[in-house]
Amino acid sequence: MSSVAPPRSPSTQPDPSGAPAPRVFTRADGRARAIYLTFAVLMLLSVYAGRIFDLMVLKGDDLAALGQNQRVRTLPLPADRGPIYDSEGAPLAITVESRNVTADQNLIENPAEAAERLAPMLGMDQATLQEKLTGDDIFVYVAKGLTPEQWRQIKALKIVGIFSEKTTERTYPAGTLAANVLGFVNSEGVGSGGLEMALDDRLKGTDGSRTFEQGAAGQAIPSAEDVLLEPEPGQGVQLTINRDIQYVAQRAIAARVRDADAESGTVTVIEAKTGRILAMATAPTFDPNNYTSANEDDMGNRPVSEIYEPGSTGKVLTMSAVIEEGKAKPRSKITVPPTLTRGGHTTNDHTPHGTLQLTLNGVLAQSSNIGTILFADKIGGDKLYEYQRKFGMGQPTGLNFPGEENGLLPKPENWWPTTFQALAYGQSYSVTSLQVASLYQTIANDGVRLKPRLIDGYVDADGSFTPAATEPGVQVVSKKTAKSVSRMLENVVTDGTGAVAKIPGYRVAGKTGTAERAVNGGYSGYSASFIGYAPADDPEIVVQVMLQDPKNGHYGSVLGGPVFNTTMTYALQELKIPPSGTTSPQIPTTW
Amino acid sequence: MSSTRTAGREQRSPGARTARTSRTRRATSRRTAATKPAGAEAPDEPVRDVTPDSGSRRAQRRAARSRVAGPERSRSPRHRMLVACTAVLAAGFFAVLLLNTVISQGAFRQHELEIELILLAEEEEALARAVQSAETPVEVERAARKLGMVPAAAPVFLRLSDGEVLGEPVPAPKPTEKVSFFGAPGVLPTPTPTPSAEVSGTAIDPALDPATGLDEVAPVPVEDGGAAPAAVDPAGEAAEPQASQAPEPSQQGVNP
Repeated sequence: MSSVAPPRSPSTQPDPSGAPAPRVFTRADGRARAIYLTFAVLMLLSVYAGRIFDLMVLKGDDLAALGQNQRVRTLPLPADRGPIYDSEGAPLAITVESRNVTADQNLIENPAEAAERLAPMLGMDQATLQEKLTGDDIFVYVAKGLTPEQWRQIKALKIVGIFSEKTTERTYPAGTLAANVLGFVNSEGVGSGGLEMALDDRLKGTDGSRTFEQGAAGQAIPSAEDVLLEPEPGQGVQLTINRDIQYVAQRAIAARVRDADAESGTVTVIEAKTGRILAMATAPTFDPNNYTSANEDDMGNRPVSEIYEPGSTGKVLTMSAVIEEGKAKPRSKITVPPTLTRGGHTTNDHTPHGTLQLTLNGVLAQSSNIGTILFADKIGGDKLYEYQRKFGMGQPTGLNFPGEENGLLPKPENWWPTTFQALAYGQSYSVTSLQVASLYQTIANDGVRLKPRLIDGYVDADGSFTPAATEPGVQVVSKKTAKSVSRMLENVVTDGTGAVAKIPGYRVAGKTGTAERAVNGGYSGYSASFIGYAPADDPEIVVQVMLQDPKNGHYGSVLGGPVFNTTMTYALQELKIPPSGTTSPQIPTTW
Repeated sequence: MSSTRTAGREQRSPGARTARTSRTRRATSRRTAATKPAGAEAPDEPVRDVTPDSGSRRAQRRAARSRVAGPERSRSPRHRMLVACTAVLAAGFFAVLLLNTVISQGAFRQHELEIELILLAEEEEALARAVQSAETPVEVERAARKLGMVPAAAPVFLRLSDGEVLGEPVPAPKPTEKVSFFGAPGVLPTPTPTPSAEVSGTAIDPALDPATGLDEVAPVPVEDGGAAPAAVDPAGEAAEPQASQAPEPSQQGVNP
């Protein structure tokens, strides 16, 4: 009966016809499938979870670090070294961007070919270059200090294994100009001579860095880590050196050293009323842009590092002491014998003469050693020593220049019997050119000695200027004494040994110096010098010229005088110092 | 026979006609529906209850079913919500994509501009260096001498307030003469040119003569690099430019 009614529900009952019933999807089937599916998904998820656990927790730190290393780059940002300017703000030393060419020797497949292509661009020997490119080192320097433009040309060659390193280079636009004052910066960027060394802490600044994540093209990935540590540029320094006066002085002394076949020569120019050093020239000199090929002896600053016996230029010190002590006046008379023998040593004058009747002024004008000794007798050794100390002999000038010498001034207790007379006319003690210049600056500045200085001030990166500290001067001798000595020095130029220093229209004071040169405990050759200042009635500029061991001639007047003249003439124009129009007073030299 | 056939056909006619009618009506109604937008009412528009036959009722039912759209109405707010959410999500994704693209493009542009900036800075630096080297005293002197200028032998000033001349004017030496930087011609001998001279220290030829083609005068190298020969020995006047220009060994010996 039930077979009559068709089944209403899709049950699994066999068909009455006996044929196999088609497989019908049931609710139970769905449940099973859901369970399977859930299980599968859970399995899959647990595999994922396991992998994530492995990646994130177990290996997480290592992998993150690995990824960071692939992307993160830290670029050093070298601080710009502070520039050095002259007194007018012209650059003497500046820092520019440059490139060092480096190589990974492992990457260079054909060193010979690479060397052949690179050699002409780097200006290097091909064999040397090939040697540098051959080996197993992953980092070698091929060349240093190329301009960015030069590097771009090398980069365009596309030589595999050749890289560059960005750096900065110290350059000196005027080449050898004031090189001995400026010094140089070594390949590590450290000031290694002159002011570059003395002011290194101020000039060098603080390096910075930039750390960022980088894409394949080298661009920074946005919104990723980017830490910028700005470099702090070094402080700029403005010197008292006047570039143009320095140039004229440097040229003049270089030509003179060459001409006289001298070992070396220096010119020191000081502003009488301030102690500012306007020029400090040395010959032979060097090019700080190419210091590695320089002769080491030529790299020092001779006006402060070279000591010598001042000779006749030192007589001014004795005269000042005698006048200041009230023992003599410019017109004081003295009888000068042809020779003077004391302590077993006979003193002569530079030209033989009979008995002369000279004034103090005449003694200085003719640079008589004997006359000077006789006047020095009036104050005695202790007083002379006292004044030598007061004028700064054997003591630091206060400039604190690297390698600066203080000179040697023997104490009275160590004197030989002949020492006193030698000291009186400028021998048996040694000085630097700067010390002599300082002595004349004191006379020119009404007896007030000022600390010589090379630095006007400091310039910050934002352009603000901080003047360097200055110290008040020291009154060494009275203004009256200084004026008296100054008149006598004018007579040296008008009537005496310094005639070559005359400048038309100006009153010039000056003194020649020709000293025997102390070498290894004995004397050999000469130290020829000339020092003076102008305008003598209101002194502004002191110029000191020094030549060591000249072979063609040895008189300070002949050798040093023209250099003094050239430098002084130019300095008066440059600083726009007009002549007063007065004439030098005449003081009798004989009686 | 034909009439019989016709009659026979006629006999079946009520049903057949009805069927035809209903067919016609359906077609008509379909047509009506189609032409409705035109606003034209079909002239033979039948009245619905005129011929109540089963076929038309089924059709009516079908039509009614399709016209009700009950479930649609009940599903609508949820559907719209879903569409809106999807749209917002898609828009969001698209915006983020766009933003990232723009940022990335910005980064690339920044990269390009930074490179351009570096190149321009390099160019500026190169130009500044050129100016700096042209400004150096040695170059200024060289240019001045090319113009036929000479160093003043003595400084002289003109005071503007009263027109007074301060200093002693000294006639300047003619530039065609051998001019010495030391104020007097012929003080120093001819410097010996050395091959070690450097570019940075190119010296000045003091014998620069505006009358004899300035551009051809080669700088005389000197051993110190920075300083120039200050004066020329008159005796070496003729040989000097030759010696300075010619590197041939045969002339080296002649050179004083």
